[in-house]
Amino acid sequence: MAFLTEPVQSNLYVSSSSTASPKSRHVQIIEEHPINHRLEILFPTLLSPQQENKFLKEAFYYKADIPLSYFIERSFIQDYLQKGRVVAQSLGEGIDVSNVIALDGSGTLILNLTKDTYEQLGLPGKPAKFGPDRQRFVVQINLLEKSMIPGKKGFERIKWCFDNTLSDPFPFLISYVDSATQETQKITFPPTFNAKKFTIELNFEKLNDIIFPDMEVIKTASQDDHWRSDIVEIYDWFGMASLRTQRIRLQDNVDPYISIYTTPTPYLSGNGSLLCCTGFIPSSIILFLFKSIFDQFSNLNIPWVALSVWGFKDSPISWNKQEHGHFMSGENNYSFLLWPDGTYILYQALGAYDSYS
Amino acid sequence: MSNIYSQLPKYVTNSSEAKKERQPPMSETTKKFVPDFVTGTLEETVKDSAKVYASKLKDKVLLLDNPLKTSNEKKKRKHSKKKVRSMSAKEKRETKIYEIPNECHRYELFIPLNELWLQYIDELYGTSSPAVFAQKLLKADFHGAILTVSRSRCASYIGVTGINIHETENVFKLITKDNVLKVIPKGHSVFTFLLRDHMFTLYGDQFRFRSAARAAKKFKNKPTIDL
Repeated sequence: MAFLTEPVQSNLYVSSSSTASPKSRHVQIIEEHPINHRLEILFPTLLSPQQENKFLKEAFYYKADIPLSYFIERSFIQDYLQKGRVVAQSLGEGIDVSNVIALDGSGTLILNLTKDTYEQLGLPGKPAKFGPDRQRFVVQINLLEKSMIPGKKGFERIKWCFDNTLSDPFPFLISYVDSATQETQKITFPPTFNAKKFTIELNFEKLNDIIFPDMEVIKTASQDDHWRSDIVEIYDWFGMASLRTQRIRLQDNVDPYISIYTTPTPYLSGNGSLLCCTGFIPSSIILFLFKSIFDQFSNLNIPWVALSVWGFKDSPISWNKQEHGHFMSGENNYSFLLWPDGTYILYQALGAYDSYS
Repeated sequence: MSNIYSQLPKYVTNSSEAKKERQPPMSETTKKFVPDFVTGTLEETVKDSAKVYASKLKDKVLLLDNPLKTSNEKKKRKHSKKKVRSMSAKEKRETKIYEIPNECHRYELFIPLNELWLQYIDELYGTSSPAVFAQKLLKADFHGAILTVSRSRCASYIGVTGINIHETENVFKLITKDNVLKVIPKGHSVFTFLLRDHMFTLYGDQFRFRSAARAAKKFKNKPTIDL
């Protein structure tokens, strides 16, 4: 594939629903997207420190050099996997060139391996869906299966493979959320793992004198082209806001030679606040913030809130164990546009290499 | 401990076939006369004539005349030569001559074979360097070697270790320590074995010949390593 005959297609899925609806997928969407890198919440108003405090939540994650045999240890499965959600993602080189290993929140170990490694590993997998034919392989192991106990044939095989053929430790980001308290909890690692603890810090930023598009335009979903173009324009605007660009400032006056961006009309002007954090964010934090937004709507007296989440570009999965690759952009992001009455519009942006749809 | 040069086992020497073997014909007078005559003639030139006789002449038969064969005998010979023929592939399959019965799939049965192979390969290795030895390995025999599958396109072959008890054009048959016969295709697999603290690697893709054909084959360098 020296030259691409056609441009690669990234996808943007837009759906509209309400939290009140029994069919609403918002919890599912947040929980099934385990590997999150960045979170931003945009409020079209200035938040007072007391209001900001309502959104604070403590969370942390670890960076550690973990050999894969650690994940199949009985104590790890019993103490962590069976009691909550453990999410892990290996760092290092990108998913197009090297091995990437992840643990999704539901106890599945996902190994996205190069052909070279796969041929030496000894565990059966499937060829990856993307990229050159049969050059990458995906091995999925459900660690919570009943048969994952020492003495069983399959378990012993996995153990042998992790002890002999893929025994090197990988640098991992790992977090553990207890299912009872929904809080991130400590993981005790052997000292050889060089585990370091990182705290997720929630920061507030102020956006003064910016232009907001009128979100009411797109609140009721329809099939016509007008609505479709509006919705994409507003998604563009979210992107501009998260870049904190000058183009959405009220007094911006830029030479059209540099940028011809215009804010979607009709628009309002005002101040905004941006809550953002970067790191290895567990879905439970996002779910907590999602819920607290609805709790605070009456307090804040604002027309809407936008919540955006960016996934790791090199994660081997996007939603629900669906395979993910990088290729051109590797994006797997989602944004919620929320109204106080529970209506929301969900954007899901995916790169060319993603099997979720 | 078995050895290539060890004596034939007793059941062979005691068998009825062995008893039928005739001693070379020799008359009593020759038996008496020859040693004295030879040592007597040699004494003039060589010191230990008795020793020379014992090492070079004793129990050896030299035909001094070359009698013409009668046409009848010749015919018989030709006829009998024609009769000798090997089994066809179909017959081999039908008689299952190369199949090892299930009750013989036992690792310990093949340990002597492995010991024999180790002696053989040690002799082949000699004092040569690993690089030179690798060339020799191409033509060596691998019946009895302990092979391990280190890489394979098929995940479940990886890590299989066992004594190679049968090599065909396209497969190695390995007997593992838990007494299972595993048939591993040579294609898309890489095998390793350990010898004198060196790990040798066999690229199965390049090794797809019968062992007999391989011994006579001229190998060319091929760069492909992708399975």
